Amino acid sequence: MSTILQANDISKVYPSGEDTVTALNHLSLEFDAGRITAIVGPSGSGKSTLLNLLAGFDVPSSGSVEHNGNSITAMPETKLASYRLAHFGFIFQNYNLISILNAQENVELPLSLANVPRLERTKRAKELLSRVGLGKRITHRPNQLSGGEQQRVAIARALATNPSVIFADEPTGNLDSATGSGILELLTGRQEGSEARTLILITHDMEVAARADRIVKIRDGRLDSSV
Amino acid sequence: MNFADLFVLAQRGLLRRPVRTFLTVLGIVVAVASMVIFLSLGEGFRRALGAEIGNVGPDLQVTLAGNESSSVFGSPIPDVPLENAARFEAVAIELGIKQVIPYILTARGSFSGQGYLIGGYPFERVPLSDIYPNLKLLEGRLFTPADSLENVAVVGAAAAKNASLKLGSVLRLNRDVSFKVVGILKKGDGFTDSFIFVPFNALAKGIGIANRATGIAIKLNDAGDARKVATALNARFTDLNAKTQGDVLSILDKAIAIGDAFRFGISLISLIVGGLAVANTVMMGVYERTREFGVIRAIGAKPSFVFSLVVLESMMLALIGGAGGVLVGYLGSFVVNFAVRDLVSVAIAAVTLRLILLAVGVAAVLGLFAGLLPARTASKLVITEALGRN
Repeated sequence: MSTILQANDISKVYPSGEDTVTALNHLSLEFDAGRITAIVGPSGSGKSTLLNLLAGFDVPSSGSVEHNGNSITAMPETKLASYRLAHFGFIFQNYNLISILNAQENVELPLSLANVPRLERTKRAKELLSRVGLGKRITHRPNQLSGGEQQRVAIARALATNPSVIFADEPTGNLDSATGSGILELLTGRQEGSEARTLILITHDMEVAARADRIVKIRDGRLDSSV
Repeated sequence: MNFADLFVLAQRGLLRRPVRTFLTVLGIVVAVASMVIFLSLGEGFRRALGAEIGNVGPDLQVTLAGNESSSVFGSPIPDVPLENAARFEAVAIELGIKQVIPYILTARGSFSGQGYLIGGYPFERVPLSDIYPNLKLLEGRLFTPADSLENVAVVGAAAAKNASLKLGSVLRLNRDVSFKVVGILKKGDGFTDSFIFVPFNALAKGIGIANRATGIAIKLNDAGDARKVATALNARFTDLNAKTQGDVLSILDKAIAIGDAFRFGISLISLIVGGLAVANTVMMGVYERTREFGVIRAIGAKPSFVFSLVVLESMMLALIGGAGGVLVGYLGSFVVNFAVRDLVSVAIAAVTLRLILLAVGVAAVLGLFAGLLPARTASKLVITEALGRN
C-alpha cells in the first residue's frame, strides 16, 4: 500500500514560563492509504498534539508533515486552509457542529466553502445524512439532536468533500457504549463498492483501537510501538 | 463561499442573540435618527431659501461694502444712502439695468414666536407682482401708485395668522404709526408668507428713517448678465457691494454649512457611541463563538472568510440601524415642522436624498470600522486554541 501521510522527525516544543515542554520528540510515522490507524496513549502522551500537526492545525517546532508528497508544514495559512478543505475531514469528541445551522446546513458548510453549487451540495448533504441514518432529521439544529445524532452529522460533514484522510479525535468519548459502537461501525465499516478511506483515530479506549488495522502507541511524545 | 451564503451565516449569527442585536440596532437607530433630524434642519433651510431667492425678482442686491456678514439682505438698520439709487439709474442704460428698487426690511418678533417681517418697497414705481411674481392675492387689493405715502399693508398668510390680522385690521408699528391691512395674500411655501408689505415712503416715515434703505434691489434687462453687471458695479462703486442671486445663495449656503458642521459634530457623539455599541456586540459574538470559528477554520475556511463574516455582521447591524434611523429621522422631521409651524412659515426640516445617502453612508462606515477589530481578532484565532485543545 502507498503512503498517503507521513510525519518526518517532528517535534513540538511549547514554552512554559521560563522553561519549555516537549510534547512531541523527534517522531516519525507513515500512514498508508485506505487503512485505519488508531493512535493510543495515556493523557499527556502527545497524541492530540500529533493529530494537530498531522491535520495542519499547528506547525511542528522541527520536522515536517507531508500529504501525498506535499509538505503541509511549508504551506502558507491560506493555501493550507484550502488544502484541508479539499483533502481532510475532521470528527471531534464534542461534535463541534455549528449551533446556528441545522443538520443539513452543517453538512453543506464545507461544500459551501468549496463553492459547490447549491443544488449539488444539498443533494450531497441529504445523501450523506441518509447514509448515517438521519435522513428524516435534516432540519434539526444541533440542540435538537442527541449526542449520537450530532456525531453522525459530524461524520456526514467530514465526508462531505470526499476527503482522502479523516481525522477523528476521541469520536466516541462523549457517547454511551451502545451509541459509540454504532458510531464506530459507521466510521470503520467499509461500504461495498466505496473507495477505502484513510482514517486516523485518536483514542484511549483499547476496544475502539482494536477495530483499527494498525495501532500506534505514543508515550512521552515518542513512538512507543506500532502494530 | 458566495455572498448569499455568507449573508445567511451572518444573519444567523446576529439572530442567535436577538435581544442584544435588537438593542444594538436600536442604539444605531437613535444615533442616525438624531443625525438625520439635526441635518434635516439645514436641508430644509437650504431648500426653502434656494426656492425663495430663486423666486425673487431682483437679479442683484446691493448693500454697503463691509457689512456682508450682518445679513445677506443688508444691515439690520437701514444704512444704504438712497442717492445710490440715482447713481445706478445714471448707468442704467450703459449696464442694462431695468429697475432700481430700494427696500427697507425690518423684523418684528416675540418670544411667543409670533414673528413677521415688514418689507417696504416703492410700489408706486414697481408693482409687488414684479418683485415677487409668485405671490397671489387672497382677498382685498394690492398697492396702487396712490398708496405711496398711505399707511396701508398687504399681508402674507403666515404673518396674518401670527399677528392676528384680517382685512381692515390695523397693524400698530409703534405708538404713533399704524398700517391698515388692505390685502391678504394666499398661502405659499416660502418666507414671503411671513412678510407684511408696506409702501417704502410710509415705512421710512413711520420708523424715522430718512434717505436710507436696507438695500437696493436691481432688475436687469437680461438676467444672464447679473455676474458681469455686479462686477462692473463693484468696480465702479467701491463703497457698495452688489451681489447676484448666486452670491446670496452661496453666502446662505456657507452659513447653513457651518450650521451643518456644528450639528453633525453634535450627532457625531451619538454616532460614536452607537459605533462602540456595534463593536461591543460583534466582539462579544466573536468571543462567544470562538470555538465555532475554530471549527470553521479547521474544516477549511480561510482567515479572510472569517474576517469577512464578522465585518458583514457588523455592517448589517449598522445598516439596519441606519435604515431605521433614516425612517425615524424622516418621521422626526415632520414632528419638528409641526412643532415650529407657527414660528416659521416654511418646512425647516427636510429629509433630502443626499441626506438619506449621507446617513446610510455614515452607518456603513460606522459598521465597517466597528467590525474591523472584532474581525481581525476572529481571523487571527489559533485553531488549536479555539477548539479548546492544548
